[in-house]
Amino acid sequence: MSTNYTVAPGHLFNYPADSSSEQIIKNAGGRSKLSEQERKLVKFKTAREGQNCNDMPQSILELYLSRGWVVESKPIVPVTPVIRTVKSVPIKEEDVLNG
Amino acid sequence: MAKYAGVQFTTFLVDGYNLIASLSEAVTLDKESLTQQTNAFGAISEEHTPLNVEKGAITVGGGFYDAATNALLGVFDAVRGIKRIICAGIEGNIIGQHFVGYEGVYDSKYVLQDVKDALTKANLNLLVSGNVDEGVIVQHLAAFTASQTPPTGDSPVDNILDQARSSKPIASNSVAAASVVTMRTEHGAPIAHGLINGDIIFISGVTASDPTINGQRTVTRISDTTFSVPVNVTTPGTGGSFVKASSHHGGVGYLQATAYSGFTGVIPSIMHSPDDSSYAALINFTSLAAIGKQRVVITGVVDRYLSSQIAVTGSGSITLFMGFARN
Repeated sequence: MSTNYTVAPGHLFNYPADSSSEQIIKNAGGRSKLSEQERKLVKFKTAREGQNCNDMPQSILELYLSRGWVVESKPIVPVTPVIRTVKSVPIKEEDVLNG
Repeated sequence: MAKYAGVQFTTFLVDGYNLIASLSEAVTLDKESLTQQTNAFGAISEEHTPLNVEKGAITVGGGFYDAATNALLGVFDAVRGIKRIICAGIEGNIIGQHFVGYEGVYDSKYVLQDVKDALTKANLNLLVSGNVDEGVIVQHLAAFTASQTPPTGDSPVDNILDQARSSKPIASNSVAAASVVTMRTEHGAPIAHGLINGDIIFISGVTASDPTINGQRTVTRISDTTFSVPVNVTTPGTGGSFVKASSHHGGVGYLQATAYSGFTGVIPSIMHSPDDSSYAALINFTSLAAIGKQRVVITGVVDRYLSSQIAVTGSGSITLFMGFARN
């Protein structure tokens, strides 16, 4: 079962939306060094507090986790209800009298 | 260090008003660390004890007298007790250049100067009753008609390029799985590096090290004068220096919005990033619905790159300036 990562309260992130965009930016040496052609190829995602950020670049995810800006949350595991049938047993008069 | 001229004094923003057109002759921006004279009677030389208090002052000489709401008289007609936020820059209206921010300024003196056969001028003396911050322009004064994501204006502010921050000299780096860096000795003692675990620094100028430790590295502190970087070095290196790429003591953000129309809301933010790829909000200014000014103090980590983000609702136009001063 994979772990979920969510943006901690008070934080907002803007990061490459996929690994392809991340690689293009890395090869260029940063967002500000992207050519016009490269800018058309990259996509960014904005994640606000409480939103999922599982798709954040791994190195940034680790950094922000260490700073408490991203919260790790275990997924909610669905619980299978256990149904038991209670069988009614008639109370005998002598049981009541004997306490 | 570059020199600057009057033509580069392009930023004089007061409470959301751009007063640069009101200035014509001279402006001075003072910042003073206050001291008290403490030498006793009979001492043959003066002694001054720092009070750890800073004082700021702005003087405008020969500004144009103009009663418009966005000109000198309109903005400064109340002569005392008015708190203001002022951003002034002498290095040009350019991202990455320095500015000085003032909060809590009150007007102490306003002098009109009538001269025969000339425009009426005004002289101002302003004392700062609050804070003085020296920072960098993160978003130069510009108009926007749509939302923006970093790097707004195409270029972030790179902390390692800020010439105001001095580099620290390295003596050598060792052969080790995580190479140990030793600071250079000056005046008989190694220089303290001032780093803590997790600091991100930018090393340059190291020679002979194989592989090189030059570049951006995350620090593990060993002592006051040594630290390691995660590079498996097989041949030791010498020389070089480093500058801090990130800082840990927070800072102060400034916002001035000088024109606003149409939008139903605008949230400007100062963003920061360790790699100019993924950005996080450092300061989310309070949503704007008109022209205005804000000064926000934050604590904690400030990463290497600074940029801005502007989130607008509806259609319209806003002209704004954002700056940040690292502590």
